[in-house]
Amino acid sequence: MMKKPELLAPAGSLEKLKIAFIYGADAVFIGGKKFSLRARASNFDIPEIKKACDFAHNLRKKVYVTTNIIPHNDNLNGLAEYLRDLESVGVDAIICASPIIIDTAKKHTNLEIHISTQVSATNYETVNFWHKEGATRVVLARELNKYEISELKKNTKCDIEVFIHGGMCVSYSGRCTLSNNMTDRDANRGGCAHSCRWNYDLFDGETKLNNGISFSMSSKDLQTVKHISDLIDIGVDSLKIEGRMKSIHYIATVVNTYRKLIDDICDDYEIDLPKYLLEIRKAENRLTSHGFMEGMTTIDEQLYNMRSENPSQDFIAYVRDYDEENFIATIEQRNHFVPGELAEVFSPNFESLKFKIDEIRDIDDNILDAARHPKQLLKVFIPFKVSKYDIIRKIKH
Amino acid sequence: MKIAVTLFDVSSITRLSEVGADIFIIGNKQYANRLVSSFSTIELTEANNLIKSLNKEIYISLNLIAHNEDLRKIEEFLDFVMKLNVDGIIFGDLSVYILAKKRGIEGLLIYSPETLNTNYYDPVFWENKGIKGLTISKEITLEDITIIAKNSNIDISLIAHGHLNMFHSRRPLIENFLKYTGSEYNNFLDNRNLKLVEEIRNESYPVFQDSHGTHIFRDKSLESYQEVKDLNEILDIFIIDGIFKDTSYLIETTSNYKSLLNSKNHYKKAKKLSQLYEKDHDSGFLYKKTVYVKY
Repeated sequence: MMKKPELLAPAGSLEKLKIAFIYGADAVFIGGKKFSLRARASNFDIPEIKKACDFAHNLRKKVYVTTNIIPHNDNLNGLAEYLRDLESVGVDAIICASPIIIDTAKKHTNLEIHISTQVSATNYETVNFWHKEGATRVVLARELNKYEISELKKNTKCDIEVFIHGGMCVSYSGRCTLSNNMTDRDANRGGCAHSCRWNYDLFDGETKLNNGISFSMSSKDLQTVKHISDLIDIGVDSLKIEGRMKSIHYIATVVNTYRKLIDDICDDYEIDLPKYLLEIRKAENRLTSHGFMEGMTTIDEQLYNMRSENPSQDFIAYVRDYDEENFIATIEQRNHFVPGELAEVFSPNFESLKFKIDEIRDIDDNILDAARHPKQLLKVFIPFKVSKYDIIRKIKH
Repeated sequence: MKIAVTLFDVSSITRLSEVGADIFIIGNKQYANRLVSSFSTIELTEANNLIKSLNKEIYISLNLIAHNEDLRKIEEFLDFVMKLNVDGIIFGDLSVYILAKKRGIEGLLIYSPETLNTNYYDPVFWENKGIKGLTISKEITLEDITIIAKNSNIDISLIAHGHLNMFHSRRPLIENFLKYTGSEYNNFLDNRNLKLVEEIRNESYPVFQDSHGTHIFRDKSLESYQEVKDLNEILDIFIIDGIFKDTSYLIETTSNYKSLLNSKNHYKKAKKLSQLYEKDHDSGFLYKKTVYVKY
């Protein structure tokens, strides 16, 4: 029988963590207040990490905490104490990259250790090095194609985790200090300014080589719907979605698409790839590609001549409550919509169902001509049963 | 403290040795990133013999980021290097440690992963692994370098002079961009005259693409004339990297550092040298702390 891999999702808040689990993640990774990259992601303090772990463990799911900075001398205060705190609230593993964090965890706790992609593990000997150091899992470098991943898996006893979706460093992760040099912000300590997404001119000596268009090295986001079947065949232990700063809609859509896809593959159902591709596109805010999955990157994996990102406007509300007797859903507004628009309910419980938005009322039953205010609670008629955390999307004509 | 230089060719070994170079860093581009020039196995052997006859040391740069398919050729290269009886092997990928240990030569290794040697514990970790030394990362302040080096029982090296890299991608970024724009320009492979200029920054970053991917470097070279006397007290190896320059630049800078080290009243002289070099050199991160939280 095919081994079903873990589906690992990001969570920037407790609410997103719940969404990730409800929509089908087996585990989530979160950032703590200390020793974590993505300093701007809304990171969790210890009591919140405890809540996250309790919620997850009730569902028999897991929580990993990133402690993945490459620390300098003055970033090390309180490390042992912090790691003991993580252990005591029930964290299932830490994701780390620096020897001092790894060895401190080994000395002071029994925390499971996963090695972060920040060390760019690109071959099986490197994975075996970390396995021997006590790591139970290594997150592979995003530079590997599926043939390399397959050979690597055959040559190690260590669990491997592979990125399947989300933003990508264009450099080898952890080997880039563009941000440090150009903005004084340390990329390996959570300050990355994304200088790789800026516009440049390219010169040979004094001769400019780009005309009319800026030199760009920006990477498209990763999307591997077509490759999941191969990754499962290879025996990859965990499939990872990137994006601790992403929205609820993004997490729900991406997690659920891969959830259904993985289940369908492992249950040996026929795979309707176009359906999954269409579904996952609804969460896109940057063009996507398969990254290195099929081999060396080409122009199709790069993002040229564009800087703007377009967060999806289709996500209009999410469900807070449902009154089954009167078919009235209480929903929380996320983007503008008006009566008469076509919408669909996206749910972890059923295939998406369509309905037409009729009257929109506020919580005091006043009839509104439009839903204008973010997070406002509203009541609408939905002719089928919906549940808390279901998502409502506008359907474009 | 020994002075190490990156070697352009066999014929400059004697001269560099005369002006004060103690260690020659040398490699073959199949197995190394960002070399000043690539040496065939015959040239490596020749350089090795000459360096030994002058009672100087040879370090082999073996700092590629290895993929599965590279592992076998790394083993072959290590076997070759073992026969040369070199004094050090610089590596950045942990597979090299595993393969060297298999041969019992981990004691020759110097760990130099660009960005990952950042705190006082790194030498402790690597001492336990039995290697010879490590190179401190490039974005570390002088204050932190001092703490790291003073706590270390293994050799601490630092690229203290030269053009430092700040980015390594596996992707052929220049080739792909030119292809995308339909450009007929095709002189991009390992062309060391290419530069990137960001749209609002008046700085130009050397960039090149080779078989290991795309590399981008800092705007200015690092110099540490005013720090060399202090570094002399704490470092084991002071590296001068001549990338984007030439042998005469290595001779000039090595002589400068050597004369500062030999001089009793070096401050004035050091300051003058810094001024002389300031047009395209700076002090890098020696006095500049990076921040990491943005609110």
